[in-house]
Amino acid sequence: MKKSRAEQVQFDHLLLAYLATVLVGLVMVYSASSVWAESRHGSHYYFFQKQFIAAILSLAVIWIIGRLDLRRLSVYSAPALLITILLLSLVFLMPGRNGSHRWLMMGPFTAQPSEFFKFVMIFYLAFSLANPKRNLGQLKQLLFPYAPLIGVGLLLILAEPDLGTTVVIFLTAALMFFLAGAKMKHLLSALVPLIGTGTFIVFVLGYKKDRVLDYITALGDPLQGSYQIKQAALSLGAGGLMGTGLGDGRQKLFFLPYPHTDFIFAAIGEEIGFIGLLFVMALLVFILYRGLKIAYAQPDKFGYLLAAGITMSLFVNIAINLGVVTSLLPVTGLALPLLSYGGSSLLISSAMIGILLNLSRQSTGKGSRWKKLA
Amino acid sequence: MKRTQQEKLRLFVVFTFMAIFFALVTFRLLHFQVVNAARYSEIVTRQSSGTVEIPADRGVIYDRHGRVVANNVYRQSLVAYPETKEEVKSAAKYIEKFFGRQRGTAIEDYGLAPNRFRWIKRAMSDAAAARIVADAPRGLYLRQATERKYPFGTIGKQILGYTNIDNKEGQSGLEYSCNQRLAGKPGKADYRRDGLRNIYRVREQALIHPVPGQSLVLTVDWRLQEIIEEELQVAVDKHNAKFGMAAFVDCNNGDILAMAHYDPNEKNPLRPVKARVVTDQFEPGSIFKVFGAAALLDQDMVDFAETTYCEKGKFRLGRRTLHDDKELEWLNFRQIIELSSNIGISKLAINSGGEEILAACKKFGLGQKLLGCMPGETAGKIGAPSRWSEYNTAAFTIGHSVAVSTLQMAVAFATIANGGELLKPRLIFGSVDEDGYVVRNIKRDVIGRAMKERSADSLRAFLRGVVEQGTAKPVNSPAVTIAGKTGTAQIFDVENRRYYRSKYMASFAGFFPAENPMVAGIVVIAEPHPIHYGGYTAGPAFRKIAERYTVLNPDLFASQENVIEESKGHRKTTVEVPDLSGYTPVDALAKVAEIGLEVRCEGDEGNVVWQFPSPDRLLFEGDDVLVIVAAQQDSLHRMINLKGLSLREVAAFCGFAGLSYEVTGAGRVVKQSIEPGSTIKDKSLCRLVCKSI
Repeated sequence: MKKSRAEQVQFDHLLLAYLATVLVGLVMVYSASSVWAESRHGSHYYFFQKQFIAAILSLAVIWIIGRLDLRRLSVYSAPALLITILLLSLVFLMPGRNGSHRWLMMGPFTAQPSEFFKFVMIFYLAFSLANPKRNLGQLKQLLFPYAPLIGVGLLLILAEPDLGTTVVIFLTAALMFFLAGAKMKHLLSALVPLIGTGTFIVFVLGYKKDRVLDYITALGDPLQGSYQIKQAALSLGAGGLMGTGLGDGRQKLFFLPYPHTDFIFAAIGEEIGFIGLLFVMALLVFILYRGLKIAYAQPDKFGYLLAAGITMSLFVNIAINLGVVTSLLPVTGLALPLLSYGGSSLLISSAMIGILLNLSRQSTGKGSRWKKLA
Repeated sequence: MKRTQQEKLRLFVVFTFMAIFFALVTFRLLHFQVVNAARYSEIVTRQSSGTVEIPADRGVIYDRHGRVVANNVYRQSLVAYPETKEEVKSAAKYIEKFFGRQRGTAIEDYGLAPNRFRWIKRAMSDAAAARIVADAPRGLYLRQATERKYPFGTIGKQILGYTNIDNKEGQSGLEYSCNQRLAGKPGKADYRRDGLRNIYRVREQALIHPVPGQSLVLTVDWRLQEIIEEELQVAVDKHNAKFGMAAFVDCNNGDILAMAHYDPNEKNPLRPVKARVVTDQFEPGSIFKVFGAAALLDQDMVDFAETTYCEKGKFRLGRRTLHDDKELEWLNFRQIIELSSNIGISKLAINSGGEEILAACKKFGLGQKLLGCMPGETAGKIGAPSRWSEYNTAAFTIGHSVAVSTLQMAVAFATIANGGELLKPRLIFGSVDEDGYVVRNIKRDVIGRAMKERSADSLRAFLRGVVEQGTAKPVNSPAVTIAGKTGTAQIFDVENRRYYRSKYMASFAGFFPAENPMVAGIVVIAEPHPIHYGGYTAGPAFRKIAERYTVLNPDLFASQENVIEESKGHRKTTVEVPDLSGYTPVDALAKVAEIGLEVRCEGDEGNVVWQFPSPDRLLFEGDDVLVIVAAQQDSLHRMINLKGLSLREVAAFCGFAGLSYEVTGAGRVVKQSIEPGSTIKDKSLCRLVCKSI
């Protein structure tokens, strides 16, 4: 897999945006977590150290992914998906944390198989949907083999229980089908019964009805919402236009829950204000924009679907997190990619960026490898 | 490869959707961070900060000798502030075990609930607090607070009053009236807290240190206070009285040495509502005659030799009749006072006119609030009747239609005792500054002259006579010479607008030692029965107080040196008078000269049979001790040369020799009606003319 000179010197600003985002994340993870870390783990560097190591590993991951031939690897995506499904079922044999089974523990390392599932699924869908033999206009072709494969994975994740990740994966998959060219009526026929069932479960059976009603109240006035939503809104408000200053936030002192993970966006907003958040959002938007651009410029459908799928996954993740923090969406525990504390999350997100960068280098190439292969 | 048309369109749709979403988030952030920023950040400030009051130490109260009579102790109180239901349960369980309560009662009894503050036990013992520190569960905490302590218990509590449970506000007595001085100013500290309610401080936050309260030094001598409270109780119990009151002041500077009331039905002596000595008024009755007498003396209306007919105890004035207790006939002025004849003094007062008597009485501070530092002080009531009829004048002079407070009476008698100067009574001697020095903030304050000095001298001699041979004979003490006046006033029945037939206010007001008065005071016993005479109820209590104060405190008058220095402007040392009885004149002279006194010897040869002042009394250096020398006992009854003697000495001698005497003028004796050397017949009258030298 020799590359031309022109391909080697090519540089994508996506990498800069990525590095800046991870750097902001590192600083804010330290600021938001130091008090927690001190009181729970005896060292205020506790979370920062772990995140720092994850960031170094992430750079290595990006470097490695940059040298891979993704199209060749893509043929392994189906067996890989089966392995991740196996891993997903393994979590139920592990001791739970807070009543949920999300983690696989191997000595000092913990990993979330649902993250790997998401990653591999995108790969698999891109590979499979790009197959020219596949006729996306037929519902049968859409249902099989995707419905059983992805469905099992989603059900397992839902059973962990991890509703947030389930939603992210489902929406990512749905958007990939959309971008691949599935018929709108087919997509809607899958979405409508789901939304209907959800509404029925919540409002008729009353499951988590309070949480939904709480969400509707909070949409109007976040101060009337649940404790987390209220504190998140207060954190943002306390930051104001310019922020209280780096490290000077008060909300992270056990008012704002999970200030370094799920609610890091609120913690950032308090310390660097609206202006700072605009900067952070600009970085994220630029990353997503570059993702779409890369997808657009891909020489083949596989590259297009892979880049777009990764971008959609990142977007859905970011959107749900930001939506929760700004009380536009109901509360689900979801980390903010690249910024939140969490080794697995950062590594997977970085791997996604790595793939985008990999694809970016080939987008301007004259010919498509896939085409050549085909 | 270019994207297909469909792919382009769908990418555009997705991109548009993303753009809309980020715009939405941006608008939401604008709403939070710009529109509502002020409101939200105020809520954040409120939930993450607070202000705590740092209590100021309340001032300590000392008595005149530096005894601590009110101070603060730090006590731990147990409070509950559980945060969860589990904490409520464990706290309740612990409380039940700790206090030996029945199981399952604590939650309801103490109202324990998550995030609710509750006092469980205030002011715990240190041992209990230590146990709680060791093993109390989360949700139970100790809180340190100060508690007011009164080391003398109920003694003097009416003066001091008490504070509320937080030790911040005085509720009665000086604690109430001097609350501002005692309380000081609490400090303030702003603090921050985190979501777990841990409190921390940031250096830039405001911190105002508390200003501790001033400590006060009172004029009260807590030894005397203890004595009067004991004696009041004894007298009230002994005479089946309703209550008793007493006040004693230093007659040379107005210091209140002790004051108290005792009521067996007082609800809570540890939390007295008022000091009745200051707040309550009563009709004084006969003790009030003294002021009428002072007025008559001051107007030179009195001829000591002249006698007045006392109508055998019944004297009609218009439609009313004045009564005396005994069927008295012809009495001179001295006897009128000694035997407390209503009719006698009334006749003299009518001659003088009620207006003049009233004016003179007012000079003694009656009808005025003299003290000013105790809550609820009464001014009493003294005023002109609608018409100065003869009866009204008589009634006024014998202390009817007049209301006085116990303290006013003590101060008025101090005025007579010190030679006629009305002194402002003081209860607070001074305060203690930051360095621990006593700052005297009220000087000896003379309100005015109430009577001439010579009138006061005469009156004092008469008042000594009351004790020696008048209505107050049971008050006469071998230990200390007491002078004073009894009062037995009928109590007015407000409902029926007449006097009760058998309810009396018995009183004795006076001073001691008679010859050199230091302390003036009054004891009032309300409704004693069956004995109701002031001389037999209040009087003996007064005597016991005077005796105990003198006997228990041999250095009593020595300790007053500074006071004398202050009032007279020069320093004198006092010495104790030795017992000279049985000495020869030469030995007596030698003995007395040793300690810096001088002897005036009456009689030619033999041994000392009488001396004045009596042994153990205190005299200033250079003063005379009067001794009478006689060969045999019977030669006592020979008159001595009284020329040059002071009225005190004359009074003492006449008392000793069984003589009556009348004095014209004031100062030292210049003329005596019974020649020196002549035999004294029992109860013969010696007229004396005095002049100030």
